[in-house]
Amino acid sequence: MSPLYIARSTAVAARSLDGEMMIMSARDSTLFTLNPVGTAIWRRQMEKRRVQRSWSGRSAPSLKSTRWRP
Amino acid sequence: MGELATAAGQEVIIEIGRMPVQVRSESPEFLRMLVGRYSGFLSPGARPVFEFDVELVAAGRIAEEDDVAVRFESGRWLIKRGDLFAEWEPMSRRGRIVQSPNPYSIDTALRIIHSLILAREGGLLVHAASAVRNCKAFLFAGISGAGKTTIARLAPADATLLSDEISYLRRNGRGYVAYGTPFAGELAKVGENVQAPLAALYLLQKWPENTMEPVRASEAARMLLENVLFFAHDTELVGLVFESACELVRHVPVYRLTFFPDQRVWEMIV
Repeated sequence: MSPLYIARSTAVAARSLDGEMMIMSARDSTLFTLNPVGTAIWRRQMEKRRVQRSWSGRSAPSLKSTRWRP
Repeated sequence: MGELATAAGQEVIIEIGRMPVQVRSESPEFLRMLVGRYSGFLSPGARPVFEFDVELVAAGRIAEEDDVAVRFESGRWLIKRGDLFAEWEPMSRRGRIVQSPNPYSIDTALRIIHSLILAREGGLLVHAASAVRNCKAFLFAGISGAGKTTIARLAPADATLLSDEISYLRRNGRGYVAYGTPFAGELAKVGENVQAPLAALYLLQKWPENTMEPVRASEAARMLLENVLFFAHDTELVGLVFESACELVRHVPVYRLTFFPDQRVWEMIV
């Protein structure tokens, strides 16, 4: 099995509001909102981490995106 | 009268949000138009933060872009739209605007210039009506048709209109100050050149009855961002604007305001 890594992009700005992580892609102005599971994952990505096999079989975290069109 | 004679022509200094911008032109007619349009926002003695020379050309297509395009290239900002070309250098704080002698192109250029200035200092230009009442500023944001013009038109006599279209916010410590702007909307009424601490942001929705409920910070940030005016394709500044919106909703109460379009809605705005 090939190792997978997830890591924060350097081209995003992120803020936690009310326990929800909001992430703005500065590259294309897309705004993402993570649910609590996604927020927990995001918070753990302070450094590049290996995705654990134990994630398999669990429900995937949801992610909503909205295009910011000022 | 806000005109000053200079060797290179004449100029006006238009001060919005305490940011004086000098506009110079060799056309007395164009300057007279500016003096009339921005009459409440002229500051002849102010030291400008940016200086622009306006080059007037015959009406016609000036740039290929249909929608406004704003980008930083080779040390200068570029604004391009069919009727407008502008460029300026942040280092020298000077630039030029090429347009036909109409009021709309310069108005667009000023909005974009201010949005870029504000982005670096934690401020925002918001598609919102705003007013001062009891020495406090209130912002009413929403998409077209949400009721910005309506709520501005319904404002009572003791409220001072800052804008019915584009509101100007600057950071002040942990709070924000709202300033009047000359950027008018459907009401075609220029805002008063006054300022006040921002007390609340209302997200507008027309409804058969008047209701007001707090909005969670995450939703408030989302809604606010939808109404922020920012045009530049610039990674750093987009991040700064995002941070500013998040900061604002952390420090300023945000409510969803549904209202029936009559003056009773203002009983809730105090």
